[in-house]
Amino acid sequence: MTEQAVPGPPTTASKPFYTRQATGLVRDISLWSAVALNVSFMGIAYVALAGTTIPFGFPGANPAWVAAICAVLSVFPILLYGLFLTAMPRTGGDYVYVSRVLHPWAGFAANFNITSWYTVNTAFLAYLVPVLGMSSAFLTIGVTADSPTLTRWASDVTTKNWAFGIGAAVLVLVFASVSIQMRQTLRIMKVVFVASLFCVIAAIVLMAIHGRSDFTAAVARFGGDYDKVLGSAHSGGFGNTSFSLRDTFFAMPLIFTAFGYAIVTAYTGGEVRSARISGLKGMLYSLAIAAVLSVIMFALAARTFGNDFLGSATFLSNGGSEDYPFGAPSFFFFFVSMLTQSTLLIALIGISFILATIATLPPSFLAATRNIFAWSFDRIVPTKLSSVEPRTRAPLVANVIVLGVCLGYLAFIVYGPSYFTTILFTTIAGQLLTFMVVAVAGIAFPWRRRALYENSPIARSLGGLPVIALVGAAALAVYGFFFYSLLTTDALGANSSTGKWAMVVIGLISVSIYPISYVINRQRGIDLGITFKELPPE
Amino acid sequence: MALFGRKPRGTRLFFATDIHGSEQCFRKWLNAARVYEADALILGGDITGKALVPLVSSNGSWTGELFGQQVSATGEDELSALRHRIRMSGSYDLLLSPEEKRDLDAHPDAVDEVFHRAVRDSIERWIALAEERLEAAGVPGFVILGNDDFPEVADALRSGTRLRYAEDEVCELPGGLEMISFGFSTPTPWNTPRELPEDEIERRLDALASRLQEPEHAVFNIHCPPQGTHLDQAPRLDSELRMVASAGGVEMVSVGSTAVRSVIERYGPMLGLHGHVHDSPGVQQVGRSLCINPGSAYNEGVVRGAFVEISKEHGIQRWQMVEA
Repeated sequence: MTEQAVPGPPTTASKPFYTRQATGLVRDISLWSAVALNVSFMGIAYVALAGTTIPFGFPGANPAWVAAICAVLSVFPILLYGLFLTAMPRTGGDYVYVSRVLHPWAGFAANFNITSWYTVNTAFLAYLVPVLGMSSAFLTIGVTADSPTLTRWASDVTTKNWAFGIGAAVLVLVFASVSIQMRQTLRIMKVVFVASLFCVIAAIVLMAIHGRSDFTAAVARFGGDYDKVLGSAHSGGFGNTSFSLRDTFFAMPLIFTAFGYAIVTAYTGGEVRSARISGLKGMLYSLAIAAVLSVIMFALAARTFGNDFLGSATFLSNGGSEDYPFGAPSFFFFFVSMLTQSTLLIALIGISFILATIATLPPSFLAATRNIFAWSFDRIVPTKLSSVEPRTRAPLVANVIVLGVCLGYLAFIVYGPSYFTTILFTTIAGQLLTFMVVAVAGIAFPWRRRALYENSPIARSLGGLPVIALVGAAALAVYGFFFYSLLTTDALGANSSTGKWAMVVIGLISVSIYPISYVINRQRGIDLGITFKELPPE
Repeated sequence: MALFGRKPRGTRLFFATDIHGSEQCFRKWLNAARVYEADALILGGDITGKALVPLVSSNGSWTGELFGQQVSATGEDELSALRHRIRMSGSYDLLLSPEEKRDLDAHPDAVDEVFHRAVRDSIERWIALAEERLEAAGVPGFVILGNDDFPEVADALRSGTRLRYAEDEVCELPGGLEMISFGFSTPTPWNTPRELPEDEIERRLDALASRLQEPEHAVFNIHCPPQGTHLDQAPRLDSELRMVASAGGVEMVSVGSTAVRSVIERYGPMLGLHGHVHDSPGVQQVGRSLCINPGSAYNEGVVRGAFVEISKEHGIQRWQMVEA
């Protein structure tokens, strides 16, 4: 859907083609709508988490450089999706790309895998609402307003039962919001998104006007000692914080969690194709905005809090050390809130972060529901799963399943044996498995689906090789490196036995369902093998 | 390719829609009869293309633009290959001299006439091809117009014998099944050639359905999908025909027909076959009827279609969506 698609006023300029008035010839969405759409999916919560997890997991990394370099490398994965979506604009994502190019079995397995991790991620973000969002807000308001009740609540909401109860309530709220009509859901999302930006703006302003001495004083006001936090962490085994290029590179997966979602506008691609990559400008602008904001926040955080402090505090907090001085877990916006003594501002930052976290949940929830529908229409899973409620058209059965799975994962996160960082980074590693399959499909596309490739706008070569194959190879290298980083960094936990088992179990389920469904459908006379098999075009 | 194994089978229909001038999709649709062993092929409306790609002659070669890239051909073979590529993508090729191109650019009103000519030539070629292929496969093909097709295309389609123009008719499908077909849509922002208000659609559909002997066993081949289903979801557009999107997603709205839904709910046919909304492929039960919109990916040269195995005795026995 390009500007060229709709005939403009008569001119004498040479026209490359002529169109007539016909259904579906619509223009692109506006650039700023595209940017808002992408940025809303990229997740402030992930950036905030990276603000403490990068100094903790990679003590020698410079978080600002991590964000800057990761943004550059993220161009390849974004370009890969952009090229795929230009070649196959009406498909809806990795499920169809991989199914068409490699095999429907690979397509389903890859898509089931990432959908499973979406649901883990949804549960994880719901868990963050009480444990990081509410806890830090209660503590900072409690200390500032001298309210022992709120200070106590800060600890209470992090206890297992409260965390599960509040997380479950958030998930039910999200379920309710996606089960009403889409238009109402989007209205709610728009308000939530705008409100969620406040915490980012407030963080930048507060960190810009307060230096290290202000923060050191704030730590004391909250009952801590800045230098003692550093000393306790390092004597407890926290690593060397002198600059390390290796750490800077290996920390990139932590911020890619946010940057990797700058591809959403590509899903709005249209039907009159051009050599311009649909929505690519919107994707790259979104990536640039997220990168610039992240770099500014991380640079200011290094100046005001100190990366050593952020890493040390997180080290003590995650390890449950008695030397950790605060009643709320180590968290970026907690430290930001400590910089002000305005209870109103602290409350607004807290609410804004909670809304930022909640804002990322409906898209993940809807993505899982949408994928279930696609599997159902293709008969891989029972058709009952795609039934809809007649009045609101809400996919109640699929929504209930997604909610149930999310609640199950939430229980595992809360009551299970793992630190929450293990869950977070295992989720990233699990999703990377699917991204790598998509990259392989990109490399294979020009040869596996030659006609589709050659008749697409992306049929261009560089040095004799198809551009998408080169981009796919670059994206595969980026994904592979991120995966390697996660699996070789003990502090992150993705290589823990829990993390590995989770990836293996979800991976095995992902590759098992299709052949089982194939056999069952075969007995009913349905051949899943033909779903993506091309008919002869002669 | 054995599609449905050894189970007793009803009438096997293969339905595709909205191919919008893609010759590749049309050829695939025809070949589906042989490959999938279908008993009948049905092509929903919107069969004609939306774009003309001019190729301008200059010193023995032809140049133009396809997908935003400059393309050129020298000699008959190269020109033939380029024209073939344009047709496969769902556009019409148009050979012009530089003077003719300048004239056409300066007089946009003339484009409409050129479009009609290109569509007519293409449809005549398709009919000849269909007659040959369907005769060889020994199956009937049924085709209707959609809202985007010029009404006069129907005259050309009526000349077919194996490829039957089915609109406004009660057609008999293999297995003694009745099918009614209707290709108009509700009004669109594009003011397309075949649009009607809801009350007129309902009146015409009622008149058509009342001619059925057993409406509860019939197939309703209606281009516009029933309103308020997963088959009719399209992006909401602003006054500039731009998609409305914001934080959280693209806003989707129902663009189907309330009249179509009402008629389906009232008559309860076994099967509703729909198209019109390319980005909303889906299968949904509407009242007693199974309604299918396979969607369209014509500009990728991919046929999105649906198999349905159906009989009066057993109703819908099997269905499957394909991307071929």
